[in-house]
Formats: sequence, C-alpha cells, structure tokens
Amino acid sequence: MSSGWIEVEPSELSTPQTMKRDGVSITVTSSPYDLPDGVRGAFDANLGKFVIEFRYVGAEPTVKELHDKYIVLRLGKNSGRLYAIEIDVEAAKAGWVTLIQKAIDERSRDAHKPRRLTNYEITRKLVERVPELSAAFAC
Amino acid sequence: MGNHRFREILFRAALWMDAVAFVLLGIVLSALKYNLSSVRPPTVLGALVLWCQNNGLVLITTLFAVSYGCRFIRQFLRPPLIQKQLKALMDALQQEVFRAEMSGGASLYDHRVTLFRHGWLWRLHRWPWSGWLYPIERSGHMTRRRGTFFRAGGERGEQEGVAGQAWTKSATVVVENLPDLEDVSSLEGGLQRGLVEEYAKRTWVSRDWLVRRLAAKKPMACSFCGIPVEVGGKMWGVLVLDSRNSKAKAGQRYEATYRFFARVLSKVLDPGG
Repeated sequence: MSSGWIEVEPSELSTPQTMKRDGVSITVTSSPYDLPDGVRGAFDANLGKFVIEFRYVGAEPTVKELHDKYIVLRLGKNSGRLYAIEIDVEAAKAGWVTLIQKAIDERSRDAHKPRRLTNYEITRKLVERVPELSAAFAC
Repeated sequence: MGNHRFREILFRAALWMDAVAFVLLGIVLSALKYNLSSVRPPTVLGALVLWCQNNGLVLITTLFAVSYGCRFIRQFLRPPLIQKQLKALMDALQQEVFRAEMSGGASLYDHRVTLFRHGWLWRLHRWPWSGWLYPIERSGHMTRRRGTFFRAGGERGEQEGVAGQAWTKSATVVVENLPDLEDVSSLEGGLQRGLVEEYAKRTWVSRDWLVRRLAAKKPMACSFCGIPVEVGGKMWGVLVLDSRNSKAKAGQRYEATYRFFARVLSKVLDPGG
C-alpha cells in the first residue's frame, strides 16, 4: 500500500468499564493486544479494492470473511481480531462506512467464531473518526 | 522461577542426552543393515553389531523415547536465554512502573510483577490438572517460590484470583483499595475476620487459602492489575502487578508501558513468530 500509517492513541479509544462480577466490583479495560496503534487506508490495485488496515502490538495469521458481498473482513485466525477491511469501491460508493459498520455488527453477533467485541467497537470508532480514511477513499 | 542455575543445568543435560540419543540411533540403524558374514574372525565390533541386531527394536524404541523425553523437558524448561530475558523484563517493568516507590526505598516484595503461564499443573490435590495459571517468572530476587497457582478453567466459576479473571475476560482487570491484611495481627476478632472475607471475595480466592498465606507471612497486596499475554493471537498467560499501594498502576498513564512490554513479551515467548 502506498499510504503510511496514521498513528492513533489507543488509550483515547478505550474507556475503562466498572462492572460487577459475582457481587464484586472490578475495573476492566481492553487488552493491550486489542487496541490498534495505527490505521491506514488506500486503494489496492492488485485486489481492485480499497483496503483499511489496523496495526497491533501482536501479529497472527489472518482469514478472510465475506460480508454483504462488498465487504471482506480480514480477521485474526486465533483471536478473531479485525486486522483489515477490504471494500469494493465501485459497488459500495458513498455508503462504505455504513456497510463496514453493518459488517462489524454482524461479526460481533456471530458467537460461533472467535470474536473480540472490544476490538470491534474500537475499530468501528476508528473507521468513523479518522478523516484521513475518508480522504483516501475519495481519491 | 526457582533456581535458574539448576534449570540451566537440566536444560543443557537434556540437550546433550538428545544429541547422544540421535547419534546412537544412527549407529543402531547402521548396525541393522550391516552384513556380519563379511566379518571373520569375530571381533568386538562384530559382537556389538550382532547385539544391536538382536535387540534392534528395543534399542530404537528406547532411543526414540529418550529423544522425545529430552525434547519435552527442554520445551517445559524453556531455553535459559529466554528465561533470563523474561527475568530481565519483569525487573524492567517493576522498575518502570514502581519507579517512585523504589526510589523511595520501598521493599521489592511490596510491589511485584509476576508472569503466569496457562497450562497443566501436576499436583495430586489439584485435580483437574488442566486449566491453571502458574508463575514462571517474577521481578526481584525475593518471594520467588512457585507456590501460587490459580484456576483458570473453561467453565464459569472456575476462575481464581485477578489472574484468572484477566484470563477469562482477555482484558486488563484492575482491583484496588483492598483491605490491608498485613495490619491484621490476629484472625480472631470479628473485624479481622470480616476483612479477610472481603479480601478473599474481592480477589476471587478462598478464605482458607488466604488464611494460610497470612499465617506464612506472605506479602498481601492492596491492589492488583492483571494484563493478558498473547502469543500469535492465542492467549498464553497473564502478567500480574501486585502492590501494597491501594491504587493500582493502571489507566492511560501506564497503557503505553504495558503495550510496549506486551509486544516484547510476545516476541520473546515466540521468537519465530
């Protein structure tokens, strides 16, 4: 991909949650491995798709999952963490953000596969909030 | 944890035994193919070849078993270099996070960093043996005995300690403002008993286990922070920071530090990854 990584501050994306477990109050925050510290988006000429990638502290093999025929999610084989999103630019047009959100929501609900709900929430926020992605998509 | 020197000797012994078994296996396999009728008159070598041919199956099975056994021991012990790197990482994290406490003259055992690994635990009274978090490295040179194990099984309710909670949630778990049990001189009074009950409940351990720790005068932390450790996208273990401070070292201020150590730990534990 031609574009460089856009640095993001992971701690700004994740808020500690206080929850009760067996009557005991605890504070839970995201695993360091679930928080991306970089994101980038660019058109991949080989795939003929716009690809958004997320960078993490760990690495693992990924598998592709087709969602809604325009969106392919690249997920961690072991963790289910979201590593990249491939978007069919021609078909998706301007509604690409909505399509991505829908794909991530669908994946969050699939309890039969490994999934990282916090990670999905964070990557969802990143797609919405990072203006450089929209700019790259418009190009 | 435990005795690094002893582990290193054991690791090297297993390495050498594996190498010797491999060479002997080659010799036995060569001996099996050797035509003894060409050796006249009988020699010592000939007698040895004949013995190998007569006991070929037993020898090959034994040498394979020794080789696999040695590999299992090496895998279990981890290479000495990796163990040293883990120790250095635990010390570095302790010094980084508890810098103010250390420079203030606090004892090393009051603010510790421990790396727990998830796996099997061979203890007769700890059935089932699978699904445990056991310590493999700790910061500092004190309190290095491996007596603390936490259940982290697959079923709900099978998680012990903050480590068990962090394991189950695959998330950073923080527990703070725990009662200061080191000030509890006796367990007889109602107040003391109440504090012990509260501590046990808030840290997901049994009251009996806690009482035994108190009796043994083990460090009693007032806050915990459990951080998951992954290797290749799979949960591998948990890093636990326990401190006598009532406030845990968690939150945005420490996140970059934990991310850095999580990255390095994953690399050290899986050099090929």
